[in-house]
Amino acid sequence: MEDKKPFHIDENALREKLLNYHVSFNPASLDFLENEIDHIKTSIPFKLPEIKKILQFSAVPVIIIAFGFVAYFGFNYIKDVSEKSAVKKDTVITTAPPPKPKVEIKNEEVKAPVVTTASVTPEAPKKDTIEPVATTTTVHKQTKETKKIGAEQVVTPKKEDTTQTTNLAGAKPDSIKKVAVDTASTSKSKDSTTKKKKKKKKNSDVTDDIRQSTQQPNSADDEVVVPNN
Amino acid sequence: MSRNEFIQACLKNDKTARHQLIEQHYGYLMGMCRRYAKSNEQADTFFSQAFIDIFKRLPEYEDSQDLNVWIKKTFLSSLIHQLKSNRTEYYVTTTARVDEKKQHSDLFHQSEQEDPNNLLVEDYIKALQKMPCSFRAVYNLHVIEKMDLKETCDLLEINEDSAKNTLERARHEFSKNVKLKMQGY
Repeated sequence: MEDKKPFHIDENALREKLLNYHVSFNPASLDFLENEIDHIKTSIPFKLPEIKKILQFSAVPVIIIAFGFVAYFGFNYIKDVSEKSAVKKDTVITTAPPPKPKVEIKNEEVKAPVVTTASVTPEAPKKDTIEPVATTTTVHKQTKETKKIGAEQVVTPKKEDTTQTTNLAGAKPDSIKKVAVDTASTSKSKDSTTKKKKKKKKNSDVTDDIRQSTQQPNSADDEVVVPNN
Repeated sequence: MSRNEFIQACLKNDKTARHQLIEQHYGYLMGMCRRYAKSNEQADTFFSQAFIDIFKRLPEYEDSQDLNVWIKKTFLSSLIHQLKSNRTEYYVTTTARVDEKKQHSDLFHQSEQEDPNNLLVEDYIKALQKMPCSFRAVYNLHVIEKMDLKETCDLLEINEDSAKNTLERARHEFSKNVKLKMQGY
């Protein structure tokens, strides 16, 4: 029988062999590599300093300066605020009395329009009185010439009307009354005149008819034609 | 030319400086790529992309760091990113179960004539390349790069249990591949 011992590879020896293994340099195999490497552009990267250095040389002084600023300006600000608050309190005391509201009395201005209205109004109610109506009744009986007289009569009672208008206290319905009264009186006068005209026309028509009848031949004079039937 | 001047020349897109940087680090970085890739062709693409990433990140380099260490670290993170970006290859292959131990029990017993430690480095690399992507990543990071399991988990964004499980299966898979290589497969 053949003696057989377990198959064992010495790894240390193997390591030495393999680590010392060198491949002979072949320049032809580097053609591709050189072409590739030509395209690589190496540039030194910008390296940031370490955090510890940043803290030591920049952050700590900046923090100290910042605290100093805060302390200085904060103190000044508090000082200003306290001064301002003190000044404000004084001013409050000085301006404590509230301003009195101004009351303007305009009595004179109110009186003026009353006077003007009173002065304007009296013309209207002149014809509103009952007396002009009575005059109008007279107008019905009179002719056209009496209208002028009626108007003159309306103008006359001014003094009596003013007393009545003052009682109305400046109301303006007078104009309406004025128009209404005038129209009524004029319409009545017009009606009367038209009636008279109609009567005259009727009378004239009757007279004309009579004249025509007298001028025209009589019916007895007309020849009467009797049909032969 | 001092190291600082050399870096500044690379940053100023100096072709000769860049070419010099690639030539200086080509050997072991390409060896690393071949360990993580599934083939030498994929390793070439990984290398190109990883070196492009190095040039992009070169402004981030600080003078206090070791340039070789910084380049290796940046290159490795770029490789892992490329592996993970190829999601179908990375995640689907992890579902493969290693339950072939009993069926191929002979594979795990070596004869006196056979020594798995006497293989060529290219054979080990081919054995690694046959492994699933996630196995390859975990094995490379933990065993070859000698990273902690937690570091590996953080880099691959997996939990520790799954990393342990993956590492166990990766070891088994690598042994199987080495044995097969030894047998001439």
